[in-house]
Amino acid sequence: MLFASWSFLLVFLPACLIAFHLSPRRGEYRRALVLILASGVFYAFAGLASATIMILGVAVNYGFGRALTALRDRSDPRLSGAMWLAVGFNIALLLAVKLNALVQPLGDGFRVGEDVLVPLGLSYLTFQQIGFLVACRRGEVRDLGVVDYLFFIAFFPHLLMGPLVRYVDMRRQLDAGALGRASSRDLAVGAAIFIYGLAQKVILADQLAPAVDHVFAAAQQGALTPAESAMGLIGFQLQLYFDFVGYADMAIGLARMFGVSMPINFDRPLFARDRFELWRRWHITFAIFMRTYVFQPLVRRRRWPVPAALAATGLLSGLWHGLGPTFVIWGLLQTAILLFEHERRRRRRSGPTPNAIRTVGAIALTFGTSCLIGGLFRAQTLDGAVSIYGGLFDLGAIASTELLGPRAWLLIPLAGLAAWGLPSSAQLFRSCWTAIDPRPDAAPPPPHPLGAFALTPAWALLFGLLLALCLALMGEARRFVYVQF
Amino acid sequence: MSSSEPSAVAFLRTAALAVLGGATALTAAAALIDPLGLLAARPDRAAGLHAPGRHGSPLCAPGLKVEDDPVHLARLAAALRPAEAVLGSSRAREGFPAIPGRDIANLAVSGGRMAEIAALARAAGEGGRLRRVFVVLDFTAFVTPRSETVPGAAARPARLPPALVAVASPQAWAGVLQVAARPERCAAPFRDAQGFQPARRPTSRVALPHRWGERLDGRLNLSPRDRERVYRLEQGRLAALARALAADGVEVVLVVAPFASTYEARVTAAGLDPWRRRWREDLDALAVATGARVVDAGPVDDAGFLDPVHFGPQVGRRVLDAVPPPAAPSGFSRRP
Repeated sequence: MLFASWSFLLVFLPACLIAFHLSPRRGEYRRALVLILASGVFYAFAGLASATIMILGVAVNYGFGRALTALRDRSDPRLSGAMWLAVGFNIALLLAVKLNALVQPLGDGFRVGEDVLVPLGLSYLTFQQIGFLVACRRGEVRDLGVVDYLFFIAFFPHLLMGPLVRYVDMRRQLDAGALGRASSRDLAVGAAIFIYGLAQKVILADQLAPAVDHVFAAAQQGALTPAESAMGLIGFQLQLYFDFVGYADMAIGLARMFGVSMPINFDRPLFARDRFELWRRWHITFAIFMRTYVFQPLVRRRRWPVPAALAATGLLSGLWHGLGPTFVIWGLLQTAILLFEHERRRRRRSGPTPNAIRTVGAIALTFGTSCLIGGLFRAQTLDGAVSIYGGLFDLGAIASTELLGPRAWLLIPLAGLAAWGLPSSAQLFRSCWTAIDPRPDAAPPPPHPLGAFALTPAWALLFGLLLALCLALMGEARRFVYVQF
Repeated sequence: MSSSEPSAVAFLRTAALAVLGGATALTAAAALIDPLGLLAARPDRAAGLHAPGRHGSPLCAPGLKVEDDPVHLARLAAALRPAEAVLGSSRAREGFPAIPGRDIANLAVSGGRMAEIAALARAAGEGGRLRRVFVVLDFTAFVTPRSETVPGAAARPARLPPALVAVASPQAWAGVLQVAARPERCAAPFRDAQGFQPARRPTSRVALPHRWGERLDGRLNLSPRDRERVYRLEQGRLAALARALAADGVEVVLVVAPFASTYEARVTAAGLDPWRRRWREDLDALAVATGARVVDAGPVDDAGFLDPVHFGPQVGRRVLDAVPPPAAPSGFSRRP
């Protein structure tokens, strides 16, 4: 079941909200059970195979979690062994599924059609489980209850595409009675945030998708012009941005409707001035996970040189998305750029703050780089990727609108204006923002010139009409890009 | 509800009213426009006979005003319950004209392959009135991969009353917005009430547009293993469809679509002539096994093409004229 579907918006969500608010306020765990049950129903729509794998994973990890928390002596050698066994189980499960996807037709490349070869949310669940197991090993988890655990792992807003949440963050909210204190204000603000995310997905990302799909499908057959290649690459980057950011906002809004705070996953990533800054703003929880559980242990405990640790992290990032060659090369390219940036920073003497022109140039360069390497991410096969890059440099070809009609030529620049012109959800909802920023150096974003949201009739009218428009456009809604991982 | 805040409650109430207002406006617009052509497809029950619906939108001409979609067409097929149906890809959609007075629907869909054809045949057969299908076959669809821009095999649409889907579904509301963006569709729908597309002017006849031929070569140039896999899949689906229709007493006419000379040259250059011979042999064998009829729509000279891919409606007309309508069933047909 997609968030951007009538069945979710008109049936599931209202039923869930009614059941939640009808359950007594003081029964924190009763409300948690309502949400766990609802999450089970939500996930069951993914199919029996997906549900079976998820149940298996949850049961095994809960068992390991109980075992790890039962061992009080932190120096007990069985702790590390149990933890690594559990981590190994999770990785093996994910690898098995990904390898199975690899041998399907067209390999494990980007998938456009409705078939998703990996059980929904498994990649995200795997990382969450690993984070949970490490937290158990470190003694950060005490008195592991089944309701707490199920709520942490299965709460439906973050189930399919993240953000990656920490057990301790969810547990803290449950212990503080967050579910019992969910108010009409939470419902109203949560609904507005959700609608804002939905609009980005349905009105922007999904409208870009046909043109992008067209270009990359043609790339599989060869022969693109520079204009087609360029618009395809830019269009895909913008589609990916609105799709993923839209989903993240929907997750935050949905959780807020139930009084729960989710971590943010994006912080205006298109304003990043270099690759390091991009990874502090894009898919934040994923980047933090890779830094915390891969990069830092390699550097601090295994004493790997930074370039080698970066390479390993980049490679694993690519493999997390898929085992196909396009994702592997994408991961390695990311690493190469990060290494270049790392070396450049090391050698650069500190100087005056860059002026506006240099800043805009840096932003454009970072975005342009993302577009270029995004071609590898999006192409279904290496041949397709080669074709789209070849099209970029085929200077003998004339500009053509064979593939891209007037609508695409208008839509892609408009989407660009929206990407840099619209406020982020943290900016728009700054007066009522409760989402968690997991970055250690977190700072609120600057106010946006377009103003900020408030619980007024004018904003209510705007968001109501926006939702109606989204409902109309949902007939063309596609599944989220990142749900395939 | 937990602790209430007046401003929050007022916000929710206003937003809900705005959504309801927007939804009502879109529903009303859909009833006026009938973007999916479903209101016009309802048979006239009062007459006791199946007849094209006299209902429809008060504002717009009857017919489908939105782009091709297997789900739309499946609903239209189930609503129309035609005696004959034309199935296939955009070649069948553009190459087969309406014949006034003939109880035939055009259910061909852009990029349609055997999965969509089978699903639409199934939808058209609901109600038991279907007597004959014309399955327009494009040889290259049996030896090339599916284009990723085409929706996957048509899912069976949810069993909802057509009138409800016509006015209160995401497809209907999206259709309203499409017509708002292209108002000419109101007077000149994309497809008429029976699914037929108005004849369009030829574009480049048979000359291959810039880069188009190179892309075609890319599609034709599959590895033998992949081509065999695609061929077996499509041919298997065709055979299954033919058998199922024959078991239901539906006559199957397999129409072999012609190619323009430029397209033909590309297919030959790709070394596909042996595959085409094999395909014809398999079609003939299937016809013998299921009682189907194989009809060659060609040969057609280049003047008979709208572009290298799509033949003109005179070609389809010739096929339909050669196969007269099936005899009407005895007695009245009533909607169950």
